[in-house]
Amino acid sequence: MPLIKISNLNKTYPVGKGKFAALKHVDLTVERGEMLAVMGKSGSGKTTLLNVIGTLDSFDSGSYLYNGHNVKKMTDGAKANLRASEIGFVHQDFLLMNRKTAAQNVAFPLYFGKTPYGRIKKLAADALSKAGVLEQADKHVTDMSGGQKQRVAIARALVAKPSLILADEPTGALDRATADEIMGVLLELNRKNGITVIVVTHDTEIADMCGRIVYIKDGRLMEE
Amino acid sequence: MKKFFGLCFDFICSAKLNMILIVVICTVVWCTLSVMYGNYVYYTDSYNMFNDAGAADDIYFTAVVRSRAEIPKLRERILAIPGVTGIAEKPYPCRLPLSDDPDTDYATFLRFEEALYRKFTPRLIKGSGFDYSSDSLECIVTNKYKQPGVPNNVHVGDRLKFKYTDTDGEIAEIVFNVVGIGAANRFYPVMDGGGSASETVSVLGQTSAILLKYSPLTSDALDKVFGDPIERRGVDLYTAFVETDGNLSENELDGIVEACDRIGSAALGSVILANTKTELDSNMKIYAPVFMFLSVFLITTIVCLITLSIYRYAESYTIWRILGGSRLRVVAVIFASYSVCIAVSLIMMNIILHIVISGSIVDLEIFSTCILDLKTTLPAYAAAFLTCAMAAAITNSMVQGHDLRQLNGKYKE
Repeated sequence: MPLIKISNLNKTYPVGKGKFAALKHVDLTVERGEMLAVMGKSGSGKTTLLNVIGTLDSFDSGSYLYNGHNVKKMTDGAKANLRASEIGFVHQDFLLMNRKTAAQNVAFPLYFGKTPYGRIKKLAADALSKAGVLEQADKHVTDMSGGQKQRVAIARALVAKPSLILADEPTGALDRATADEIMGVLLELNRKNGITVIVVTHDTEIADMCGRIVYIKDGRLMEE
Repeated sequence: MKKFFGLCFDFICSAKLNMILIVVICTVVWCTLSVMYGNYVYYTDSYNMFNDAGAADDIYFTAVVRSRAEIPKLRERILAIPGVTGIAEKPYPCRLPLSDDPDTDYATFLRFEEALYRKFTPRLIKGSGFDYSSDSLECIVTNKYKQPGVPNNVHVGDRLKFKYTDTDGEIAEIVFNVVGIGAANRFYPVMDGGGSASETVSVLGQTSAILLKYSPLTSDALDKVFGDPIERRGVDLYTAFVETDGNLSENELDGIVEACDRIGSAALGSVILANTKTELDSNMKIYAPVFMFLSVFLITTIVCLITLSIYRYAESYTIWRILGGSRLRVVAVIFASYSVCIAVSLIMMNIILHIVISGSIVDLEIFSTCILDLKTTLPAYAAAFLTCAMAAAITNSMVQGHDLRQLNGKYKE
């Protein structure tokens, strides 16, 4: 059974009195352990697709099965539980909480899951170690470089041991060398831990590191 | 639960200024509303007690006396007025030690004669009250046993014993049976108000004194150790309810008031009730708009601050949502966090009213009648904590909820 199976999915946004079709008849199947790149220009619908896959956005029609479960039928609470237990997010702007330390940021998603309170610290430290920033654990994220911040964001995405990581332009705010480092971390997680990774990017070098590339243009998805 | 409170703590830390504002505003508003409510209850309680005692047709009489010998003469003159059917005299105080320790503080007692006791029977939480058909020495303990020497947890049937040196220099002992426990913070007919007593709150008052059933035996014993208070002070205020025939017309009642006025100072019960109502109405005319304004102000402030905090911390909420927080869970955390602040403000209110205000104001009775009464503050505490507990329970059940592996095929296709 594929981890993600999207069929004939449509998503529109209201614009003034009309509607803007952000995703049109999208069909996408992602197997477990795959590393997929989604490429496209700005405004093509990449991030909308990622938000729909991550259950942050709803869709108008079509179907989306996550591990065989119909996302369309899920309540807001069920979707939240799905995100808390199954999906990790990595974002171009890091989306870290600036007044917290790296460890506190990484530990935060566990407050929404079923991890016992006493294990939170240990799991956060493990995730920081996997992302290579354990020594920065007590540093405030405001005192970190972009690369370090993105590693903390990856550690936070990992901490709940998800099946899927969704990375939205994860290297967009980083220089080439740091971008390669970050992609290295994501590749390692995919290969060693079997985590499915979907990377949204417009950078062909980054996309080439992934096993499969799909293109999106004006809301329509095309295979390579 | 720890995780839930962790989220609340995180939210409170992220919105410190809002939380401080909520606590300060709520504390000020609670205090003001409580003082106004306290004043309302203070007047209405005494009004109702006075009215329920059927004192509207009685005449509240006061006269200055310089010796105890004057009292029987006064009594005779009042009873000689046509239409007067009886007199219920004020309870006389005395003070005695309830311990063998010579350094102990003296407890205050009020001796109730039957007529006054029947008119204003104290509201008891336990026991049956005085039995004037027997000669037994009986007492009612009031106001949470605040008198020195009264042991904790006094029960009906207990015996309060005290030893004293009488005027002959001999050690004597008196034992009172506790026949009732008076309700705390209630009004009793202390009747300390003089001829100018124009409202029920001047006639009825709170007391922590131990109520004694008057009997000649008790009176003799107490006089031996305490002496005659009038002789000791040289002057005293004699106060009494002059009871009238219930079928008298208004003019006849006015005639009795005039006759009493010639002996001392008198006011008709219905006039005292009307004065109390006027005073209460005049207070309410000030309080009602203030009450409305503060209530609207408080609700608006809370709604505005929560809305502002949601806008101000929109990015944080987005992060929470991405990391697995449902809308309801985020709302529950915000709701519970503000509930904690409201609970804190209630605690602050009680600290201010109990310690700061009650320790410094002269007119303590207005506050102690109801505001400092746990019965009044308990619902506020309960409401605030129930809100927190409910929000915590709902959120906790969701935090501990299912993950995808536990969905049991609910969404399986």
